[in-house]
Amino acid sequence: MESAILCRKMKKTYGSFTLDIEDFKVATGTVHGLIGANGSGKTTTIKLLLGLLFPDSGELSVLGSSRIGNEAETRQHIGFIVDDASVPSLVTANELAAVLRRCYQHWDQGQYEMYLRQFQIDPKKQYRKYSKGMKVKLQLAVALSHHASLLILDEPTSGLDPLARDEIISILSEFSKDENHTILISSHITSDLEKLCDYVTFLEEGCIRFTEEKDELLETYRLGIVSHQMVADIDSDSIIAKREGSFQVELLLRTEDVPSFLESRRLSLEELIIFLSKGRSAV
Amino acid sequence: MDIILSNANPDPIYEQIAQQMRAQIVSGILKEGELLPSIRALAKELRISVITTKRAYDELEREGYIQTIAAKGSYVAARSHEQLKEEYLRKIEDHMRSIHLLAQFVGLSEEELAMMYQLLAEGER
Amino acid sequence: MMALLLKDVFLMRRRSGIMLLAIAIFVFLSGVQGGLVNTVMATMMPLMLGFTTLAYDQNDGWEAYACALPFSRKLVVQSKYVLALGCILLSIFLVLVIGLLASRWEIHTVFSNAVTQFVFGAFFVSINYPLIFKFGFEKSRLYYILVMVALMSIGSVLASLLQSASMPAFILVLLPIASICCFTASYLLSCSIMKKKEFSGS
Repeated sequence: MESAILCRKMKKTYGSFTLDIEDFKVATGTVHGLIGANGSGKTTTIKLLLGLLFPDSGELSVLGSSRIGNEAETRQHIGFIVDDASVPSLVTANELAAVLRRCYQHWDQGQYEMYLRQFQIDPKKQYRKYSKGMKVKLQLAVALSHHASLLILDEPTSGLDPLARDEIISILSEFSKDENHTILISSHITSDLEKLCDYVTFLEEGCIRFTEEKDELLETYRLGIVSHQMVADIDSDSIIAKREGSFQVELLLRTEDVPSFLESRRLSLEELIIFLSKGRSAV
Repeated sequence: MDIILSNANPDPIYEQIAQQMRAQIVSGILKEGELLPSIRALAKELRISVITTKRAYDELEREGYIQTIAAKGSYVAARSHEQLKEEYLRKIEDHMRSIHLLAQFVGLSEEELAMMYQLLAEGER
Repeated sequence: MMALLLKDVFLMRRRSGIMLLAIAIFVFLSGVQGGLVNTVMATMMPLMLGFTTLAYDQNDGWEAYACALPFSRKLVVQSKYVLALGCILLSIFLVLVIGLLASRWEIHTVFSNAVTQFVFGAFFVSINYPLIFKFGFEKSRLYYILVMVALMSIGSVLASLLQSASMPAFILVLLPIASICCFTASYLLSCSIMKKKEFSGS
């Protein structure tokens, strides 16, 4: 299967928010990041992909299934982490395994226990007594212990300290070494996505601003830092966005538009997103 | 095999990878027939996208430095270390010929040319 | 479904404590003394155990989690109804046993007790469960209290009729059948509610 996930003209409205996805594809064997501010529609998109929400209109296909909410069989191959969907508070990791073993056909108890050890989760402790970080780690352990081919993860690293985040990124990186494994991961911690993703989709106010291959995206733009006077020396057509400081001006330009006299550098994914967000002034 | 990527390097990442691999193949650090890391493993280790490593490998394959066998992996192509060195020497000779011509147009002497080269070499260091 | 029931067993195991004591008391009273209140409470207590798992499910976010797991939504509803049914049957069984041990052999009393319990439990589930699936536990609380009051008043009228020996026998057969029908209808309604339910989050 070429596309693990496919969305076309998918719309969902509730309350005052509308999600409008014109075209979204996640190719099998890739790690695809979903970036956006809180409220931009990342969680809504993910819930739609897990069948927890139903689209008002449009096409949606996950691992070949166009009715993911109603096809339990397809969900056998999906590991997930979503906000609002969680493990019972009174249950322990061991008890959870006893339940999931009877639900997932390919449940791997050995792998699960390995992750519990690695994450230092006490298998006899009730879920409600876990720290925030441990809660996410347990959900990740579950997601990785049933031989899933698709991981759909909503903010799996938020609330974690840098060391824990790095640990999780490494584990996900390991998972993605298999060409049949696909990951869709949403986060507002852009630096995590920068390390992990092959593709990046930027969501803003319910719409996709762009989908790009990550390295190519970072190659397309350069950051030039100049004095206020020097701005005039630069062709205003080539300035995509700028940030005026008290002592300098930061300019976003396309790599090929950078004049030879201007020293420039690549931007991090985070810097780029900040520049390209609607709040920034485009010249 | 060591690959060090630099953010300060103006070349795109796939080009940096290709350059370093070419150099290691020519200098013999990477031996003929040696199995190279898969594009996915390399991508994950370097924390870059799989598309980028694929692009680098594709370029090296087009140039004949490596060979990819389906389901097995990528190997350093069977060209002798001597052959590759020959090619590079030929390229350097071509460039030298062009420099010689240009120098003649401008009227640069051999000593001035040598000094220019020295300054360049020192600057890189 | 075994997986879901197992999960509920884990939950109930932790919350039982006082409940078990209350169950024991009311079952004893009902079996030995009889009386409407005792009998109803003897059903309610076990039923509440199953009922609160629903509350936990929604509060913990498990309902959403289960729907993203490879369970069909029908199965999620099914497990809750089966659990409730199990609680009702358990309460009937316990009262029966205690009653027999206390030498209350009159077929009529024993049977009418069982019917009261079954009818009460079945109606309680039939009315409340769809409400909770649709509106969530918090929002249904008011309805739930109203339903309880209504059931209690209708129930007390019915029960006093049942307890009196002059009741025509066919009522004893009609009521359970009616409650089974309601139970089934409620189950189907809940399935349809769950099928369309969306989890947009808090």
